[in-house]
Amino acid sequence: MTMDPRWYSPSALRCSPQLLLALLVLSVLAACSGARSRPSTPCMSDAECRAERICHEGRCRFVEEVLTELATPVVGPDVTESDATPRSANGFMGDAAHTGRSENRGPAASPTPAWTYQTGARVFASPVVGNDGTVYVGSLDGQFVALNADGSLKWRYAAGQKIYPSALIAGSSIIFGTHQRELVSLSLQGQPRWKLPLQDVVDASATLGPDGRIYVVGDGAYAVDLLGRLHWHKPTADHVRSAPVIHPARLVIIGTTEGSLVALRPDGSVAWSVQLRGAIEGAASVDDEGYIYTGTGRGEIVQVDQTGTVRWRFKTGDEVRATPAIARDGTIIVGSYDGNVYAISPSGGLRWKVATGGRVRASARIDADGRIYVGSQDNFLYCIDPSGSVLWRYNVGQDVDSTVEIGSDGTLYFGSDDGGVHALR
Amino acid sequence: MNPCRSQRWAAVLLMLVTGGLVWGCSGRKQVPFGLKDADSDASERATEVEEGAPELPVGESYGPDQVEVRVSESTLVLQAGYALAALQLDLDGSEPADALVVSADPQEIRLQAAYPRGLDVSSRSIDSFLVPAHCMEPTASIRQISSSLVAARVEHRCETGRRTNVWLVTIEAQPRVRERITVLPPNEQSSADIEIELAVEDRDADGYEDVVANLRIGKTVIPLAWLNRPGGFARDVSQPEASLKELADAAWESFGANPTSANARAMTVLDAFVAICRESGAARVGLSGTQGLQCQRSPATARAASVAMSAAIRAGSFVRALELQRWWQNAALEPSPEDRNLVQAAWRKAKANAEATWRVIDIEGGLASLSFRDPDTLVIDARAPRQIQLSSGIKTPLSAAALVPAIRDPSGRFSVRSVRATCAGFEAELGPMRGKQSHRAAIERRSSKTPCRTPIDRPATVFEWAVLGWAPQGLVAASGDLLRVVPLNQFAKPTGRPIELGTTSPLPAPIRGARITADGARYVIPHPEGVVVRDWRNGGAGLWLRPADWDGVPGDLRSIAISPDGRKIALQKGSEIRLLSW
Repeated sequence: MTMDPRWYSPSALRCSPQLLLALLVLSVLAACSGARSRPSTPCMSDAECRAERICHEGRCRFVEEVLTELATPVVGPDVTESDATPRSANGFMGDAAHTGRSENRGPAASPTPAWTYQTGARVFASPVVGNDGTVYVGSLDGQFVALNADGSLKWRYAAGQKIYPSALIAGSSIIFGTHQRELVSLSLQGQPRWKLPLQDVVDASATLGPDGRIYVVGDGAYAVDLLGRLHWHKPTADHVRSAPVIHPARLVIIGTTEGSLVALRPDGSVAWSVQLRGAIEGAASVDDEGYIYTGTGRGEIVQVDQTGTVRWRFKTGDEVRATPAIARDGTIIVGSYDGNVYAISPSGGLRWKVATGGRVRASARIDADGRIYVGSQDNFLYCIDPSGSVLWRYNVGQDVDSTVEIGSDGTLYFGSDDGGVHALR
Repeated sequence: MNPCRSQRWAAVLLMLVTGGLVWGCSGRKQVPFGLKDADSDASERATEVEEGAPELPVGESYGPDQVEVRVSESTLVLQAGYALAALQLDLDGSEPADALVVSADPQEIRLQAAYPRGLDVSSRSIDSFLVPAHCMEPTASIRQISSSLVAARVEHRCETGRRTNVWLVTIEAQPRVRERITVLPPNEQSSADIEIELAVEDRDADGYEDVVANLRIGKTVIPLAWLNRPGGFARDVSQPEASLKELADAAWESFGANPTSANARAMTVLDAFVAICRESGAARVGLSGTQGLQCQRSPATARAASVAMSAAIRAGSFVRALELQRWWQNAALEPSPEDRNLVQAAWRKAKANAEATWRVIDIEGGLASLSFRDPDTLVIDARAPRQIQLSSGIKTPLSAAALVPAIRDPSGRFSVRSVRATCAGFEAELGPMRGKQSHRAAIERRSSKTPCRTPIDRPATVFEWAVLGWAPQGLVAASGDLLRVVPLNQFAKPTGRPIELGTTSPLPAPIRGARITADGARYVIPHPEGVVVRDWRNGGAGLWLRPADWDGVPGDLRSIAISPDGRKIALQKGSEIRLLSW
């Protein structure tokens, strides 16, 4: 195909006012269409930005644009774009359903200690690993640390009060509550993005919902966006210590210390509430079928359907404070204060149980091969295969109430009552 | 009438009137406001009001959900809430007996008088007070404590402990509240147990019953007295200072022989001051709904602080001594020269934890800002900026462009220009590394109770709030042993309230600053009599460093820096810049 030379000769441009006009219109349109992607106005505060825009990272930006950006996982220097897609291991128990499953493989044989980072008090929280391998965890001495993969300190945040919950990595923000009665959002470099004062101490981890909101509990449930704006607060009569779990039927489920399992809609209204008779101290979890599992202070594991109907109860010998983990075949794995780790079928029958020498407060994690990692107050960390055989146990020297995190290289990270953050591989 | 006779009658009448007046007045001894001429053994005649004293009636306490109260032959039905206690007694001088009733609902406690009128009972509200939401399970007791007074006590169980309210009510046709004494639950500054014991005595020997509320704070008893005067009750303002002085003087006198016991006595004074006096900012005892008694100046407490400080120094608890020194910053606790001398002498005699030596490395007449570039290089930011290589002593002039502020943010875009003392409190002045723009971040807000009469905006001294360094979380500031994090975002703007850190709290890290090591483990606190180095890795222990010839170097300590390895300190004392090592 040949082109008519009149369309591209300079003289043609000079002599064609229609063409000039068309080019002008096109250039204006192009400029307009790129308005949002143009470098935005520099700013130091929201007041300097025009309506509907906020000052974020020194630029006036649209709120939606910032929220999207904040929710996007950050690509680390050694992380490829495909690795940077949202991972399961971004918070307590790996995902918003608290299944405890990990895509990584932990050690099948007895591990050796890689390093220990010592804090000044018990480490109750579960460490959380970022996309670049940084380990984030808080301690009851009030420090929240970011540790390099070799265990050296990257940065330390001083909360001034105890930190019980595990962190939530939501895109490029690290979010956790403290006994300072606030929810804190930090950048991956440890700089505060925002702090939201709450009316109560925070004992449980925050959960990221599919709507991009963060759900956290204290004196009830709170819904907050990634900019730290409170959307709603649903107070409860008693303090809540169970991390919110997200149900696929657009429900946020919390358990209260007076024994109610409460399902909230995304607008904060109560969908249903069921009294389980026994304090709910651990978070609930949701299986692939949408059934909800929680432990109670009366020693029961309870299965509840998405309408709030109790389907079965499984009795253990003492109270259950751990969050039930859910294996890929639907088996529910949970420890009890009676010292046993139970495997329960989705229909409520016992598959096996493993006795430890102490109360089991920590929740179990399940690796890509189905191996179960769980700590006990007998000072040991246990590795159990899917059939209930103990593969190995490791003596930490103090209670292990912290839930294990499995790194991409198979390293196990957990805290202990000795104040240490331990890495085994 | 005979005029002489009438004059005689007038004289008799005048004598009678005068005599009557004199008799009438002498019937009630005139007492000045105070107790100087009061009967010295008045306390011996004190009548402790005991539970169930046989001669005075004691009211009935009720369980929850009591909404009806018997008043003689009739019944008072409460319109709101439920009854906690009631005392049957004659208020209006006519039969049948009336009642004083304490009732509650979740938000409020009420005191009312009930009068039977035939089959009905009419009631009249006397007083009420609101209860915080976290205080629950009220209980009450009510009893007559003298011929003219009733005490009604209400207790609540609150989040941090018990909350007590005591009403003192007159017995008359229309009873009035003479005083309401409140004891709040423990707070962060005051955790001692506080009990109120009421007694009735003629404290000023005027023949009328006064009321004494003995406040038992731990093991100390402070008597607060209300003197019964014709115009009503007047609180004896000589207390609590008189009792505190007695205790503080005893502590002072025993310090030489037994510092441990002196310290214990001094601490009782400090505890009592915090619990009682409004000036402490954390008082738990209140009158008529206000928190704390107005004690104004308390030389006794200032003295007790000096004894406690000296005892801490003698025991080698230097950080504790610095913490106690904050008491003197309270406007009500101005120490006397003797108090200051006691503490200064203690610091001078203090046994250093380590043998400290120092040497002159430079002279600077003006104020110099010191910082270490590396363990061997000291930067002196003064009129002529320079750096000194410590191992060789070589000095190199620095251009202004080569000067990098020691306290800068992690991205290196902002720095701390100064710390300012203003009417708003202490503020860090921050700005971009290059440029004149600046803004401020509050480190400590001035209490609204402390008025700022003259506007001020001056640099803070080395002994006031100082910024130790800048971590990703924000600024770490220190004043004596107090530590605070001022959270800042990436534009150096405050993000949330400053966070108080405990003495054993780990500090944020990594941190850039002249007075702290990068890992936040070791930092230096200047003191007029030496230097304290704190080490978080050793549980926040303080190391007291004072070279033997400290006083031989004229001038005050003006600037200080610690080396990145935490093993050397550079300081400016007077016009000399010295390097201190241990």
